Amino acid sequence: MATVPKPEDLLQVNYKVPATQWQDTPVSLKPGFWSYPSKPKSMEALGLPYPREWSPADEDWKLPDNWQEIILEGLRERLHKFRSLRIFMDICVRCGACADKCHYYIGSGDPKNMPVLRAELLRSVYRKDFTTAGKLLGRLVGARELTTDVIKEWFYYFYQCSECRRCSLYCPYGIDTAEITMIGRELLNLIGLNIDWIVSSVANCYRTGNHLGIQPHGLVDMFDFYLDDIEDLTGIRPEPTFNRKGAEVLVIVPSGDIFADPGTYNLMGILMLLHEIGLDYTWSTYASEGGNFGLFTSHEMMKRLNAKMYAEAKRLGVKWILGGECGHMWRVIHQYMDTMNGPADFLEVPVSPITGTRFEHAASTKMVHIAEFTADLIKHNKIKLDPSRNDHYKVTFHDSCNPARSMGLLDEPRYILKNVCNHFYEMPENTIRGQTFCCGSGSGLTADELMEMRMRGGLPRANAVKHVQEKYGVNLLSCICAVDSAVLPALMDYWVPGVEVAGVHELVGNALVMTGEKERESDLRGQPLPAKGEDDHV
Amino acid sequence: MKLSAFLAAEQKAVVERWFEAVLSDYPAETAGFLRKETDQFANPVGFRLRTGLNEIFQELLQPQISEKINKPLIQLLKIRAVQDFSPSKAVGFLLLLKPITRELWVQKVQREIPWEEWGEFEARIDAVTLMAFDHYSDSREQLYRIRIKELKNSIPRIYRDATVRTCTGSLSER
Repeated sequence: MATVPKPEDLLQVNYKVPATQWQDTPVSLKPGFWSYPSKPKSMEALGLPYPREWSPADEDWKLPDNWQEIILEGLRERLHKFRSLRIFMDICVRCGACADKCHYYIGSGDPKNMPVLRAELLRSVYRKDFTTAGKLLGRLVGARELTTDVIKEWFYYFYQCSECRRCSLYCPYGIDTAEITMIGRELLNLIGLNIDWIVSSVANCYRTGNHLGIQPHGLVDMFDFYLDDIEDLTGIRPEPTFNRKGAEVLVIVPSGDIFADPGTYNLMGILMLLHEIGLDYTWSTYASEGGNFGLFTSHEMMKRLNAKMYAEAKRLGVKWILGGECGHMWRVIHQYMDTMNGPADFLEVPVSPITGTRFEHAASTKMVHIAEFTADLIKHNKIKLDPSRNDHYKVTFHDSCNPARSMGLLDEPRYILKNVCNHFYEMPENTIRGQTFCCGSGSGLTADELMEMRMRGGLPRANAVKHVQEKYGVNLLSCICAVDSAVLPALMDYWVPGVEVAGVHELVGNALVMTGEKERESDLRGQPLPAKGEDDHV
Repeated sequence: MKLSAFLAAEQKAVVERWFEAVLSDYPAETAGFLRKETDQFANPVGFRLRTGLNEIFQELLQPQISEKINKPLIQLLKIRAVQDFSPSKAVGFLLLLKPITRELWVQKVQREIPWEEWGEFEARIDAVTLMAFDHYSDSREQLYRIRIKELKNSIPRIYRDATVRTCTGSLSER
């Protein structure tokens, strides 16, 4: 008779340190924690090297024969090109300040999700081949060979970092671990290791101007649907123009606002606002994407996609660009655009034609965030608002990582929210503003096959939302990022049921009193508006 | 109910040992973090684990398990359902309480407290473990439902609406 183990035997407590060091413990690639590799046709469309069918679950990843040479040569080139990378490789003292700041580490407990260790995956190879100490002393100074196990580990963990930069906030040396991930991914791309969610979006964007590959006529059709909805709701039909030369302003939003709920309600809010103030603006059916997944691929790809927005601004002859609620688009604009494709001398320093405010901080990029633009309108009393139309919501605000940490856009969205809502509540201090927790799905880690990883990574954010839900009855999480709008509903469904997600300009659209509008009966989602004085029915 | 009174008096020490036993499911570096960081927002897993185990333990001391146990159970199982655990490991943390309490019983109160009470207490742990398995399964099913919902939502609303319109023949009902 077989011996049945006792429960406590099965659950034997093991206090021993693992038999192997982290350097020698190969990664265990589990479904749910990696994204599907890119389709060869998308890679071919972009001219990316080594397109092929492969899967992380396979033993053989069909790497090119000289893959080590390609990676090391690629690293050598980048160490030469980016002084920051060389510094980031050399100066980390492994103090551990960043270790417990990563949302993926907090949620998963996997030590290789500690930013310091994720960076060490690359540093260990750097030491081995690019430092004298590493060449001579090898393992003693933390150097290791670049093997197939190492490259698999790179793929697993560099695509488990959302480049949110929370860890860099705590680094006493200012090491930007997101930039290390960016270089890691760039190197992986050299041997054809990338993920489909990113590469197919980039290929579509490169070909048609937006992530979904929607062509101009399809794009205009989509707008028509939203204009129908606005007309039903308000009795007013905005008349936006497309590709109109000579308009004063080109408006570019992330395509998530055009194609995916709840971002679409945000777009309706923007259409209503720009109509109400009578801005002389146009949309482009070619630069129909603010998002730039090139940032998650390579510097060269980021530059390519960013350039199309400015090429279109030049072609249309506008004075400046108004950008929508997007996350990484703003990191690209704020931190890279100026030296990649800028300065945009052919445009003018943005000036709001409604208030006369000159946006000096955008003097070089010529691009203004719509939260800044709208906050300025409110500050100058240029729009009429009825915040009671949002009384069915108890609102909190999720600082999207890139606007918060990469451009310091902290107060404008809050100023807007406090003017368009009567019930606004902050989450705890160490989870907002510069210290905000990532949605867990940024930097192309948005695919559904990565759901477990996304839920782990989003736990710290959801935990803070749960706190304000229990304390204040919060039922709406607002944000200013299309990726957030797309992924936070899933996160809320899992961790904090009962909390909806909305862009800030959806709430602006609800509250905006338009000239000549009919009495509104519902909000932009078609939900009945709360009766006056009855704001607690939700 | 001598056993419950005895365990209630020992709650702090028992739960601490239980907490430590559960931490052994995690790598050593992580266990240190989960143990030391007390801010509930900086360390949601450690915080929920500590408070959750306390709440579950308190419920286990009652003669009848009440609905109140579901809240901490669900919170913990949701976390373990997305962490790197097999199903048995994900729910098995509850059984880790048995050897800890049994040891106490043997060492301190075996003569004073009849074994029937001990048996009842262990039966409650078994029942809660089964409840935990239900919550674990619910969480996993929820993940798959969320995936499907997200896939459906990836089709733009207007196309979905257009399909509904075409199918129903009604243009006005949206």
